[in-house]
This record gives sequence, C-alpha cells and structure tokens, in this order.
Amino acid sequence: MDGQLPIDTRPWPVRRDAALHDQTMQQTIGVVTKRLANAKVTAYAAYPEANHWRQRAVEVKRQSIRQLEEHLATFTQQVESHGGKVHRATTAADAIQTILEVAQHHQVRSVIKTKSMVTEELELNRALENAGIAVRETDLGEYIIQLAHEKPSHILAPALHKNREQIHALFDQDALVYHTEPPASEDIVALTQYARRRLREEFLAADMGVTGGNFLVAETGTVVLITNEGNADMVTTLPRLLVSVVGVEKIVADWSGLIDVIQQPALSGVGQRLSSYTTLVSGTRGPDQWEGPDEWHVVLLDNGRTQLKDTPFEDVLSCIRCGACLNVCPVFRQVGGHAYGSVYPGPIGIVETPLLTNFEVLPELPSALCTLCHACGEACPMNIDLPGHIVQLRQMKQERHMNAIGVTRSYRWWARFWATPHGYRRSMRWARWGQWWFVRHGRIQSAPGLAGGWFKTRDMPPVASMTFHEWWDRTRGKRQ
Amino acid sequence: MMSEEEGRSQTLQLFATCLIDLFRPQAAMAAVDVMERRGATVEFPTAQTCCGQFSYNAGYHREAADLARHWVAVFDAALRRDSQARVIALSGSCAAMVIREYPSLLYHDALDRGDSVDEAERWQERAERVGKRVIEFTEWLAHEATAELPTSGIGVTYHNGCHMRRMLGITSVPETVLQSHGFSIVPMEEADQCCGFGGTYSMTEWPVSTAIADQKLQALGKSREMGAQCLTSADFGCLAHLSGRLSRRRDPFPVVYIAELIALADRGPVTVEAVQQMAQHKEEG
Amino acid sequence: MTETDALRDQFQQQFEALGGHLFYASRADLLPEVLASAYQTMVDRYLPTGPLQVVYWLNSDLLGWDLHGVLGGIRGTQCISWPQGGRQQAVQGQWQDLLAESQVGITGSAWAAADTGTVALYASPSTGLLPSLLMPIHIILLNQNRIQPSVREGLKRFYQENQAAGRMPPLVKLITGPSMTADIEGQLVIGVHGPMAIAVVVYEESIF
Repeated sequence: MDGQLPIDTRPWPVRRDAALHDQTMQQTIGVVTKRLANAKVTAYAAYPEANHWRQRAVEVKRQSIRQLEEHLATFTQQVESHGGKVHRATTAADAIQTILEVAQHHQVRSVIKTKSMVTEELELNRALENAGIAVRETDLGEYIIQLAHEKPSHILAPALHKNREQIHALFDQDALVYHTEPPASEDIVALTQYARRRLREEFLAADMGVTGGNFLVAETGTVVLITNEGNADMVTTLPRLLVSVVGVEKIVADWSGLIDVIQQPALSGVGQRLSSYTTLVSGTRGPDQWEGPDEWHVVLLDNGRTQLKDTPFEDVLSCIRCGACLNVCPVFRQVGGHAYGSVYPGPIGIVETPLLTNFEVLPELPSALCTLCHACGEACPMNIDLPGHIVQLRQMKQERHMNAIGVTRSYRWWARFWATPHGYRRSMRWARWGQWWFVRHGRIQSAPGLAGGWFKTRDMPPVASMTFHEWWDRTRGKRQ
Repeated sequence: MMSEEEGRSQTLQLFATCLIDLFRPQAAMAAVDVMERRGATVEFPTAQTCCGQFSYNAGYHREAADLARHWVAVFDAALRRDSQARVIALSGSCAAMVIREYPSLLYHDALDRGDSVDEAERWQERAERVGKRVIEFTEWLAHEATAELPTSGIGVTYHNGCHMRRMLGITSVPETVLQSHGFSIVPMEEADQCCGFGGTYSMTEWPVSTAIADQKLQALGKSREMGAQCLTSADFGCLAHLSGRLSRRRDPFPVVYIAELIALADRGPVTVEAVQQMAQHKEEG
Repeated sequence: MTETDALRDQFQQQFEALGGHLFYASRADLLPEVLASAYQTMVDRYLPTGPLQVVYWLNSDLLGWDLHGVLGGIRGTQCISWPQGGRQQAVQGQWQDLLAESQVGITGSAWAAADTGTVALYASPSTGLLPSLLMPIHIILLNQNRIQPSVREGLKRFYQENQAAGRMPPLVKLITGPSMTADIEGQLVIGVHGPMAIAVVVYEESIF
C-alpha cells in the first residue's frame, strides 16, 4: 500500500529560490556538510578494519530485508515475552491512531521525544497537540525547529539552517512563555545551557516518552537508539510509559548482525567510531528494578516501505539514515533540506519520496535535484545504488508522461537525427546556420528551447566553422 | 614517427564525442597529434555521432538506446578490422556511459521493444565486448612510455570529472600525466565536487547548476591565488560549463582541454602566452 | 607491557580523544587515593564552587566500600548510595529530585572497549543509569580486566553472558564520550542533556 508523507506544497521553483537566497542557511550548510564528509573519510582511514565491517553490515541489512516478515515476527514475539507490546502500522494514519490510543488510555498530558525521522513522517507532534497533549522535542536541533514551527533541514542536524541570533530570539521568546531566565547571551554555549535547563524540567515531568529507533534486533527484541546528546537515555529512563516508533526496515536478524551494523551510522554520518550514547532497550522494567519503562509499546511502521521489496529498489530499505549522501551532494550543499519539500532530503530523499508514495507527491525530485555526479553512490556505506535509482526514476517519470510534452519532443527529435551520421551532420549544419542570430562577441549568448536555460548564466562557443568530422574528411578522408 | 622501430604500431579508433566535435574540434586534433607522435595509427570512424548520455541521464532510455546501438555498430565494425585496436575516448564521462551503462541499457531496451531474451543478450554481449576495448585518453597516455619533459613551470589546476572519477575510478592519472609533461599541478579545493553541469541539468535547472558552478569557480579562485595559470580537465563537458560561466562573468582565465596542453608540451617549451592563446581560440567565420 | 596494559593504553587514548579523563590505580590499595584525587580534579575543574552531593553505586567487587570515608573530606561532599532492590512508585519522584539536585554521579561499569573508548552500563536491581545521566559530572569505576579489545568483542561477550540467562537487561547504555551537540551552527558544545564531563578510574582487580 502506498505510503503517506507530509510535503511542502510550495512549487519547486519557489522552494529552490527561497533556498538559494537564504544566505544564513547556505553558509552553515556548506561548512557543516564539508566537515562531516571529511570526518567520515578520516575516520575510515584511521580505523583499519572499518571498511571490511561496513561490507559485512551491507550484507546483514540486505539479508535482513530479504526475510523481513520472519524477522518482524521473531522481534514481536521477543518483545512481547519481555513485557512489551508490538503494533504493526500499515500507514502513517494507523500509527498515529495507535499512539493516540496508548496516550489517551494512560491519560497522558505531556510527551518527550527523541529525534526521529519516522515521527516526522507521521507528523506526530501535530496529531498529539490536536489531541490536547503537549509534546516536547528534546534533541537540541529539533527543539529549536519546534520553537520556530519549522521542519528539519538535515537528517542529523535539523536546525542547520538557523544561526545563533535566530536561535537566541527563539529562546528568549520561550523563556517569556515559561517564566524562566532567558539565555545569558547569544553565545552558543549559553544557548545550549538554556536548552539543558529548560528541557530538564520537561524530562522530569513527562508522562510518556517517544523514541524512534536506529535498529531493531529480532533475536533479542531490542530497539537500539543512537544519540550524541544523551536525550534518548533521558526519554527511555525517566517516563514510566515508553513508545518506540520504528520503520520496519530497521530490522536486523540477530545480535551478531547488530554488531556488524551498530557503528555504521556514527562512522559514516559524523566520523565517530560510535556516537556518545548508544541505548539498547530490550524490555520493560523487572519487578526488582528501578529503571526502565513500566509499559513499552513498539509501533512498527510500514508506510509504503514493503512495496519496495522484491523490486530493483529493494536496497533502499538498507538505508541507516546516516546522512552521508546529503553531506557529499553538490545540490544539497546549495539548497539544503527544505528545498526537497519532503521529510527525507538529499539523494536518499529524491529516491524514497516518490517510491514510498508511488509518485503521488513531489515527482520533480529525481530530475530537479540531481546532477548525477554519483557522489552519493560513492558515499553510501550501505552501497545503495542512489545514482542508478535516480536515473531509473527519471525514466519511470517519462514513461508515465510526467514531463512537459515539449521536452519529450526535443529528446525524440534529437535521437532521431543523431542516430544516423547523415542526420547528425545535417543538424550540425542547421545549427551553424541558425546560431548566428544568437552570437555576440564570438560567443553564443542565448538560445531557444531546451538549451535556453544554459544561456541564462553561461556562454558557449559557436558550433565550429569546421567541425572535427569536417577537418578529418578534409585532411585524412582520402587516406581511409 | 617515433615508433617505427617498435614494430607494429597500435591502431587507435578515436571517439571524439559530440561536444568536442562541434564546439572544440582543436581538442580532438590535439589528441590525434599526441597519439600519432607516440607512434599510433589513428583512425576516426566517421559515422560516429553521440553516445546518448544526455538522453540516458534525462530518463529517455529508448532515445538513448537508439544512439547507443548506432555507437556500438560503428565501433564494433571498426574494431573487427583489427583485433588489437582500442577505442580512445576524449571524455571520461562518455567512456563511462559506454562501458558502464550500455550493456544493461541495450539489454533492457531490446526487451522493451519486444525482442527475444536471446536477442537482448546478444546486444548486451556486444556492448560489453566493445566496452572492454574503450579507454579514456589520459589513461591510455599514462601507459605510453614518454620521456619526462623538463618542467615548464606553468601552473595547471585540474578538474576531475565526476563520472571519470567515480564510474571509471580514474583519479590521479591525468595529473600524473600533466606532471610528466612538465606542468606543475596546483591543487583545487573540494576537487571531488561536481561542477554543476550534469548534461541537460545545466539547461533545465540552471539556477542550481549555476550556483554549483560558482562554488567551483570560488575554489578555482583559490587555486589561482596559489599560482594556477590555467584550468584543464579530461572532460570537455565540465570545461564547457566552467568556461561558459567564466565567459559570462567576463573572466578571461584560460580553460583548455587536457590533450591540447599535452600537444603543446610535445612541441617544445610551453609558455603562458601559448596557453592563453590556445584558450582564446576564436572562430574566424 | 602486558596485554591488559596495552588495552588500557588504547582505551585511554580513545577515551581522552573524546574529551574524557582517565585516572589509573595501578594497585588495588591505591584506589581510594586515586578516586579521591580524580574526584577532586573533576569538581575543581568543572564545579569550582557550590555544594557537592554524590549519588553512587559500585561494582560488585567493590561492595562494602565506604565512599563517604573517601570523599567526605572534599568540600563537605555528601554521598548517597543508590537504593538497592525494587522501587516503590511513591518514592520515585523524590529520588528523581534528589538525583537532579546532585552534582556528581559515581557508578561502576560492566565493560569497556579499547578501540572506541566506550564504557557499558546496565540497569539492574543494584545498578542504575540515572547517576550517569542527570549530573554534570560522571565518574566511572572500571575494572581493568573488563576492558575488551573492541566494542564488537564487548557486545559479543555481553550477549553470551546474558542470552544464556534467557534475556537481555532491559536497559543498556554504551557511553562513548561526554554528552555533546553540534546543532547550533555546526559548532561542538559539550554537555547538552547528560554530563558535561566524564572520567574513568581504571583499577586493578580488587582485593577488598
């Protein structure tokens, strides 16, 4: 069944121009993506066996997906024998309904959350708030964009598009609302300290914790959470009621598989050998224990994922959300995450958004946000064929007649002429004759049709008065 | 010719690419010069047109396959005449299209057209067979024994095309070749980043494409501060994009295809003026 | 150099590169002294003023230790032992407040990994995760024999020890450096939600 994704309804040119004119965002995004991409390369170079383990991780993910249903059944049985409850959600709406039922059953008034792309997919915060439940994002970046009523602009660093002045203003406003001391200054440490103090109150008071999950281990019924801030530990340790919402594709078959994959998000995403905090939840609190949830619900979300199984796109389900493809992408580095209009930005978002929704939303992504430089394919630790998929999606789009008819005709005529030497030479002669309308100072400076875009910002030399073909004919032709 | 005494000379079938053919023929002429100076017999299958990458990358696979079948037929015929001959591609990107994409493109297109699986496999094998004999120009040159030329002191910064780097795995070869021909390499910051060209992407999505190009030109600015006197690449597509952008910004910085620099070095000591003159080559007509 | 010394060295290198501090008690009888000095160093550096309250639990090989006797003399430190046995809902809130008001958490640890500088802690009837989480400073006691060559090896052993018993501990935490973020302008800041400073005191097998 097709998935549902929340989207930015602004048309692509509007999203694009907003991004290209946002200098704050461009500056930060450029610096941070470069740093993360370099950190990854350095970390691999300094860790002798890392690449070998990465290849094993790829195998683990591929095999786990191949037998997805069996592993999900084992996972469910394990979690439920250790005090948890597993719910399957086919669509985003199903997941929302389950989570609301759990919250309402326990008369939950306040929720604390870890960063989770899946809950962005659900727009969970809005659903909870509509039901009268207060939600607090506890990842610093997510907290900032929650205050700003915005969406994440990077999988790992959601508030990358905001600078300290903007964040200071948001925190000042928040301090007014909660009658608390505002941040001492615009200094980044002071801003972070403010968030620590403010969120601490919310951690201690919350009725329910909501987490995502980086991996699910079928054999042991474990949900694995990876953070650098420590907020996942707060969310899993403090409230008595815990809900983990995780995409079904996060499954790995067994513990040895987990060992192969567990370092990959940090290594590939930020160049750390492991993130500061790795939290493993494998059940509810025992009767003689102090910590751990009294009640634990795991919501396994499909939302279009399993329709990729047994298709050429199945490898997409191996994504570990490390963000490596975003960090190297030249387009992402220019436009940032919001321009993609989807929960998942960057190359993986280009591929996932149309696939999860069966081209229902944002069909422009594969064509408009990729130069096909293949940097993402090289960077992906899970060997997902991102460039190949993007080309494939462009073809699917064209087969479904989703391109402008004029564009399609241009390609048809182009191929018709250039598939024969005669047509090629003839079109070249026409171009040479026609181009002089557009030549200024020895360079072509404008052109009609498909090529017109080039000349908005670039020149081109005219078609040569003697092409190489003609030169060869003239100088060497007789010899052949 | 140098190699008469080396016995049988190698035959090289030149794949000039449509962009060079139409917009910078002197790049292909220079490549012919370089190959012949090293004793090769150069042939140019004149029926060649374009590899179809523009269409393929835009998702027009049927159209791309029309061009690909023509390409394979032309070069297969040329190669059949000499079992030792190779195809020299004047573009890493077009070479990658032929080597990496043709086999599956032609296989799937044959099936889509209603051909039998046997027929589809025949096209795939044919594309693979021809693809194995395609070699990118600088890679070929690196394997040729060339006497180290004395340094000319000309600072060159090299743009590594994305497909050449990532699909063919050729990274440092062109720079090594430039160095052995007397050029000094000035590094480029973020050298592995795309120039923003992307075939028709540069036309349909020109605002983003231009923003990426400007990022590259910013990196180029730093190379210039470090002494680069010329920008080169083994992919004319990238160069056309960057030089087109420089030209629009009225920046006269010289941009030259790599074979032209090698040909210049082959002919004697290189001067900055010679490089500039080469870059500024204007159409008389 | 023995194998365990080499592992400790590698662990130290990784842990310090992450911003952690390492102290080493080369003989079991030196541990009180080394812990006191580690504690003093950490509080003087990270909390130079104000009252000091410690919540702690110790590894089973150190049970029966009087931590108050070791730290009580340092700036009037109060030491509160982590409660043993099951929790009663009535006191949970009080305990959280107590923890939230404390400055230093001192905990044992189950194992460590040399290649990543990781320390592992589990929640059990006698051990808890909150002292590693809520206070500004976290000091971890680590038996040198529990340092594994790699996090892979550590996780493998952890599995073997627990899966044999039929289930994994419900909450496990691997700590690899202090709490940190780069969410504002991509700049690294230490101490977001968890501790801003962590130290490990490595000790030789105890004879207490």
